[in-house]
Amino acid sequence: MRTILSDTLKMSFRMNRFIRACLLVCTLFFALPASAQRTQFCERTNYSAQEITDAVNASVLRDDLKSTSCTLGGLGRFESGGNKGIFNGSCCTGIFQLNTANVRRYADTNREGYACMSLQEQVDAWARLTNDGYNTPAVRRLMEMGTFDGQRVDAGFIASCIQLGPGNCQQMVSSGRCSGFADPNGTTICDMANAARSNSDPNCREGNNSQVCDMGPGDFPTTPVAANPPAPSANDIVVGPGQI
Amino acid sequence: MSRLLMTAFVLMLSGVAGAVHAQSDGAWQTMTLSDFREPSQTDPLQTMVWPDAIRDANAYATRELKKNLNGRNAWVTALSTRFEDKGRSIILSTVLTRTCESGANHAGAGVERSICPLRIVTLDRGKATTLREDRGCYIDPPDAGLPAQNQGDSIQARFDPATGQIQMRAIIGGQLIAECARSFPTR
Repeated sequence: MRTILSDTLKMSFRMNRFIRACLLVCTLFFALPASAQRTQFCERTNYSAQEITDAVNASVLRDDLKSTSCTLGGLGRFESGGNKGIFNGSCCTGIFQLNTANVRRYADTNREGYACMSLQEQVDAWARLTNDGYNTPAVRRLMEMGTFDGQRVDAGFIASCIQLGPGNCQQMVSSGRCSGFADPNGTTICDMANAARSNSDPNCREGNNSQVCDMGPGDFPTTPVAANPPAPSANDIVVGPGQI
Repeated sequence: MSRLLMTAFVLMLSGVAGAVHAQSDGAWQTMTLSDFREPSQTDPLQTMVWPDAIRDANAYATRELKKNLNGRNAWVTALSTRFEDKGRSIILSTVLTRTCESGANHAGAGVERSICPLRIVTLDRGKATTLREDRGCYIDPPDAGLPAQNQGDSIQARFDPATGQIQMRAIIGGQLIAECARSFPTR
């Protein structure tokens, strides 16, 4: 009698586990439509890191960020795979995956309109956003620090900070750790900066056809202005050695 | 004189303008979206609450974006709600401008709030007074392109007629967003 009761209980327990497993699968199955559906607007493109870099160099982006524009080409590849017409299904569109609020503010259009803009127009909007983000407290603090959680604060790092949102970046800065902020997929600003570097073209040419430049905010140019004086002009005021 | 008459007329019309709805029963109300691209002389949000934000956006669109607006405004949007309190109207509004702090720009990101300029303006016998300038949350109302979990996203506000307090909150993806919970006195 006791054996029959025990077997019945075991069977009931196994049934419960089976039902719970079914419920979990059903929940996941029905939850799937709730997840973001990527949408392709206009044509699918596959811009290379170099092509994105060229657009960055032709944009209104601050010069000190252009000094690592190869990294920024890598950032574009990391975000969209070079596909300027992709909407991620929840917030973000285009080569640098601008969120809908920024698309309206910096391109005066909606996500469909933005996805159909040219690469250069998209990069120009992103450059305006990045220039504005450069003056936020989080970015200023990072520039003062020079390194953050063992990582050098270079222009790629600064761009990633702005990319993930100055508020989110501030959260990371306040924590003192790369892990202080991570998006829902666990991507940190440090991860993004590394991904931007690794996605850049190893033979990348900056605007002047040189190899990848490794200069960032706070660095001094290797060719000081005094080493390249301008040619004399008729308007110059000539001061003799004894008059200084 | 004609300008004064025009202003009075606008203020009278503001009582019936549809963009801002009057609600004062103490229940949470979803703040409604206004799109300022079509200029209006009768919408109190355009004439009294955010005229400077519209001017700035127009200047940016023409100067920086090289847009020809053709008599329209740049694309500025605001959320708002209106409460009635002891014979005066109270408008609560947040506006999406370049001074907002918006969320992530990232393929792995979801819908996030923007933290934007907020104003509380009272209309009392035709006189508009800004009670408070602050920062508050803004999100666009959901559209069909967003995931099912975001179809109920909203910024909400309620007014307590007993204390005169306005409360704001945001619901995104079914979750209350802690940093968007705000409370403002109006008396």
